[in-house]
Amino acid sequence: MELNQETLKKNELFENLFDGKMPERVPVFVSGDNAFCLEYAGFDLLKEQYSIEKNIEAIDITTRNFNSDLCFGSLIRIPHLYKILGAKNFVPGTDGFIQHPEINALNEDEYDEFIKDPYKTLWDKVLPRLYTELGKGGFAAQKATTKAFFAFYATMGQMGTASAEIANKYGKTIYTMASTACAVPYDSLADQLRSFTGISKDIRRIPEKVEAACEALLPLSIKAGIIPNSNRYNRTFIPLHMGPYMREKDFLRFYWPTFKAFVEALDAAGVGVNIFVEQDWMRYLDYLNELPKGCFFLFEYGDPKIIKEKVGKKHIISGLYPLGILKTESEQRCIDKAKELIDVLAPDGNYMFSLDKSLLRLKDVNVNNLKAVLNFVQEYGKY
Amino acid sequence: MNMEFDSEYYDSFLEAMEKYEIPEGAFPFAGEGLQGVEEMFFGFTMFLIS
Repeated sequence: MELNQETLKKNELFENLFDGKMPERVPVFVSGDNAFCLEYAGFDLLKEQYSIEKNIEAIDITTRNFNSDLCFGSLIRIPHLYKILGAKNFVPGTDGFIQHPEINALNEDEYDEFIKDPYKTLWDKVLPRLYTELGKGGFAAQKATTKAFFAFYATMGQMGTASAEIANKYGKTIYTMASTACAVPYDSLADQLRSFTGISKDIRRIPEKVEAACEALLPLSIKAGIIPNSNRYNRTFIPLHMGPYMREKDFLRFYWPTFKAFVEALDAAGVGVNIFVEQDWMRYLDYLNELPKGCFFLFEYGDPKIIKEKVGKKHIISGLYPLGILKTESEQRCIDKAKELIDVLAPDGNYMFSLDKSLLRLKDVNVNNLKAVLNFVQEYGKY
Repeated sequence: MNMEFDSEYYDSFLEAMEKYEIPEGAFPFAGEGLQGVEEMFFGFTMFLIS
């Protein structure tokens, strides 16, 4: 695909930022979940979310209508894939939106075998519990695995191609938030294997096993975080989950060592990281600052001034714009908030504008407010 | 900390060449087709717990 001049210019905006140079303006990195895009386009999640064609059509519409610098939409949770597998970890609600219930797929007495060979244990124990079709064994499981494997790569391939084509069609950057994605080891262990409540007990009852399990997961995380096209611009997305819910001494012992080693390994391989700093990480800013230079941090909560001062010289700051006010406040108030953040975070570069949370549903915002803010930032963010 | 991935359920490139009895001269031609799918399967596995 030959990239048009506007797309090349937008790419340069991000490349400069990731290279530590001053871009000509603040890049605008706002996008929506495919559910938002489908609803904005007038489609019904209960029906059209199963169609790749409709998802692409919806993302084309949002990319055209919202003045962001990247393709405005992505499909992360693939509805038909979860149906094929009989997923328990991602299930559609009554309105079709896919929810993630708390789940525990690795038992406490299975830590030892998991530590010995996590990849094997995932297939022997974990995945059959997360996905009912895999739990049936025999032909049913083999068929479901084959269908899901094909559906996953066919869908990702179609969506990846479409995303780049839509970006190029509307003069947006072809770079995305996630060239690939992987959680840090502790979060991988917590999210779907031991659950929030399970791991919170484990760190008190069997701390050595939690440490060993995180270390066992580290090589998998590194491997998953580096794909053939990974580099400083095609970056790996890392969503952080459990840190803010831990005591600092537990964070230091269980979360931080493999988190740091994971990011350092990606950096050593020349791969940039886009880290979603979920919840409030103010008490951990000094740790984040220890990570290799040039990490991109999308903060959910925190004091912008302190974040800029502590982390913004070494790393790229983003997020912090409260999505919630786009629904509840006036257009002027929404614009004022954007101005306030840019005034604090944009000086000297290392800043990209984005919201504090994922834009999941149409009802999350007043779209006119969002459009007004995006238009404002495109102009006001010029250096 | 160990950074190298290894598993009973994963074949490295050389293990795959041995397993499928690929002659050494054919390694450059067989690698992508055989190991590429192994790597895709790994990526798929990690997606399933994400």
